Amino acid sequence: MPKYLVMVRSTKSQAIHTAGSIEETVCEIAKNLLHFRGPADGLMAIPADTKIATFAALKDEALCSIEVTDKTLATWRKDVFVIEDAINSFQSARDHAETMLDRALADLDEAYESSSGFNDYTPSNDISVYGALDQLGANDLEYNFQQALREMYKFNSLKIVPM
Amino acid sequence: MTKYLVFENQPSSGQVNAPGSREAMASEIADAVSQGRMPPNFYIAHSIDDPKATFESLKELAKFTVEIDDTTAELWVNEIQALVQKAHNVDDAIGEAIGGIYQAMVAYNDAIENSSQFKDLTVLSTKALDRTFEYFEVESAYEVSTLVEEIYQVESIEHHGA
Repeated sequence: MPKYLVMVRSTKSQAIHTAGSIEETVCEIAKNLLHFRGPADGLMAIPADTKIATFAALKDEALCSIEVTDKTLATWRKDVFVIEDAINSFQSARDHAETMLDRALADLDEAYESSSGFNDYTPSNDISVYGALDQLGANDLEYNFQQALREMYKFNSLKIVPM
Repeated sequence: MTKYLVFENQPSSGQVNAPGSREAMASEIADAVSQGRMPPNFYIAHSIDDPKATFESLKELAKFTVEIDDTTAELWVNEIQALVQKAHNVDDAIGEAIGGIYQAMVAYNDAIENSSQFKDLTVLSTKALDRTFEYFEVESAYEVSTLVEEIYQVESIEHHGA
């Protein structure tokens, strides 16, 4: 299983990885798992068994190591974006639901509050939008997926990622 | 205090309660208590003193009785109608939330099931979604419905088939 070290590409470096190369994909994986804020081509991947990699490790430049196979590379290209999109869509749907329900419930609260005969009742005291949505058990979706990716790519964080 | 009998209006009846009338109000009140959110004119109400009520009673037994006086009529217009509408808005928001989340859940579950390496990840339960909002819906609608039932002394009439 080929192992790569990933580091920040020097601003002086003109060379970038070939499109579609393993190194390019490794940088995409590293960007994802490191939560690196810059573009993936702001990173550089080097096979771990090369002298450059040893030198980078000695200089404490490597951010992480990642191991890939043909199968896990194919998984990255085929499945990971689809699942991440689905997780993001789910979170968006949940956020939208929270906002919408919160607003509707606030309106109901206000209607009670502004009435003359029923202002001693506040519906939101009995109903929690956030508590209700927490019951879906989907809070750890993103975390669990990230953990699965970390295991699959034998991700090893070596240094704090520069912001 | 006037008592009204509320019936299901037959589509062929050609009758509707005059908008703004106490009869129309009695129909709205019955609908608020039943939480059915039926279309306008689904119910038709007649004062119990109205000869039509007797005639209608013979044709089809009433579904509800509703009592209204000047004070509670004013309360309906000035306060309770707004509460009922806002509770309906909460229901609508719940419906939209369920639809959006359900679609996203199915898309996520499909993505997991169609993947080659992530089938072990837990899929999302659409049953949990139903349970979550069932509680929310009941809580938001129950209070208004109970309030209306008490104030207008609404009685739901159960009919037992022969």
